Amino acid sequence: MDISLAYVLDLIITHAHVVLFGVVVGMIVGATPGLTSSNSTAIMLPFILTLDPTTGTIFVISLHAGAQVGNSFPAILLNIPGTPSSAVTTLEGYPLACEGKASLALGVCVLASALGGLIGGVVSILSVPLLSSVALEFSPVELTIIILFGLVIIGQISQGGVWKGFLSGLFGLMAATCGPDPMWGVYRGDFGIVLLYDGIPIVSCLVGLLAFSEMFKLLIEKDKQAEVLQQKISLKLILQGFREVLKRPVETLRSAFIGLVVGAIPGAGGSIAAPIAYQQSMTFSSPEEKARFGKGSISGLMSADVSNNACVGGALIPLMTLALPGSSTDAVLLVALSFHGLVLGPEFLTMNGDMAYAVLFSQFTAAFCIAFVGVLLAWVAGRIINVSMTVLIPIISILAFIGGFAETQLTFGIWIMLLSGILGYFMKKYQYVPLAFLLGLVLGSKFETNLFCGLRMGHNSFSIFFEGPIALTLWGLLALTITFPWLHNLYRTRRAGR
Amino acid sequence: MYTVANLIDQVIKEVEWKTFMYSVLIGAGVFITAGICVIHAILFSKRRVVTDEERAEGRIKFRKISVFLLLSVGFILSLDYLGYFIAVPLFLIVMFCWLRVRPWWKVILLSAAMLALVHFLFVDWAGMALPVGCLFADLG
Repeated sequence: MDISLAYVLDLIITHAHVVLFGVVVGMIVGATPGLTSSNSTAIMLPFILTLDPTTGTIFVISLHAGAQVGNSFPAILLNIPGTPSSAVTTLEGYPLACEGKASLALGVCVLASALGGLIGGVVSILSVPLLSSVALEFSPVELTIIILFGLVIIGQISQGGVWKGFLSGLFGLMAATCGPDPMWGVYRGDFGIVLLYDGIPIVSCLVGLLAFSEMFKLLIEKDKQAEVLQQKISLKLILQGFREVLKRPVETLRSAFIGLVVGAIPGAGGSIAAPIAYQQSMTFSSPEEKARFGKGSISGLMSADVSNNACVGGALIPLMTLALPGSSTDAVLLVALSFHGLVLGPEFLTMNGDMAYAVLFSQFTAAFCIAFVGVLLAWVAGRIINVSMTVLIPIISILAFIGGFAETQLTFGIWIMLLSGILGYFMKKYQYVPLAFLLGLVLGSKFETNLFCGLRMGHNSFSIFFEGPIALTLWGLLALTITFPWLHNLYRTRRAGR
Repeated sequence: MYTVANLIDQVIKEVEWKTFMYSVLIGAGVFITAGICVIHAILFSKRRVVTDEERAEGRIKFRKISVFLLLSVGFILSLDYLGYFIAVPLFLIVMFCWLRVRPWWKVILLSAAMLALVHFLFVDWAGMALPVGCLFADLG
């Protein structure tokens, strides 16, 4: 597909209003304690499903980018990280705010996020077409291994340990066997319940796992409302924060690179990228700057925010080329696009080039919107983050009930949402991985189809999965992914022993 | 439990053996990893003495979650009969009262605003067929 400047400008202008709306909603949602980009996109799913696929996808991507910035506002002003990814922001942002430099910290965070998004956008635009052409060479054999790869990686990085991650993913695959078998059309695992003949409603399940499960947590923590740091936010200091970021181009590029690489790993995201970028920033800082870390370092703050937003672009790469969601928000996107009958993966760029490029280029608009709207919202951030949980819980619950209803248009969907919410709450409580379960559920039928197609190609022999350079390389990478943490631990223990 | 029930359901329905084998393989994976998780928990989890304070806190959490679940179940059950016009504001008012949101005008205003949002955004604009309930159905 030829991309001319006029074409790019047309794409950007046509969808600018959607991006602006998404960024503003994302920032407000992100700044509201207890709401993250994933649970808010899950809540908004019924609304997103009514939009055309391109608009809906651009809206979700912009909301995700906006929420990453919004999450940093309570981290700076309240010392409360809205998400694990903004935990690092509290380390440097709150001390800066305590010194009376809240505006400066907000300015740093806004521009760092915008630059992270911009760099993430450039790299994803360059790499998605390249990787898509490579991925087109993949047969069902390789696709089976890649889906397995995604599930294993999510299992690997789960906080509760590898086995809990694997169990969550496998349970998701098991739940996906409910309904018609994709190869022979045989109905199974529905327990004779007519409403389950089409399988478990994924949208309802997703809303329950990501959004409704959070209501239990909010309900328990509702009394823990913190005091907002009362400080006058000045535009002049916000712009000074911008200047501080522009003085550090190397750190910006390094943190963006980290964010992109980590973001492209399924399930990793900002919670892993931000600490790595922060640690790298500390390693490469001058001794004077190093002494400021933990007491309000601008380098530390900006590295976390740049990497957080670069993750959004990074996560789009596996999503668009291999249909592997990099984060919960991308999983929502995958479900929303499947609802419209669109299949992400190697052929997505060829079949839906206009849409793919519109989504990729919308990241530029989102980056500019973050820089401009971010300044205005940083001004009123104190008011947004002071919304009471007791008001939020009933309102979000109603939206979650409607989200559960959206797919099936039956109260049965709300029951599934409620059950998934309870399951999600207990999974989070005992450190299992709801995202791995969701991925298993979403990719289950695709995994099964590719597995059986591969078996048919190999005349019912599993040996085909171990033939050919691509398959062998993927298996090698998979083995390395599984064994690396153990080998690394073993090496560290032995070194410590010496 | 779900895995066992799913497999039994497939045996009863005598589904294609390849389909069944796929489920058996995934099910075996579920059981093996679950077994490993259990063994891991038994071997490595540290026994911790629960203090009276923690126990009391746990009871409060349990009560809060139970009430919330009860209200949610009540909302879902009432939705088909009362319709969203009554069930949505009713659920909101009960929730706000339980969570001690004050003053009253705020409770009424928020419930009315939320009902308007549900009606205009989801029913009117998005065309969602939320149940109207017996009363409104009879009224036409």
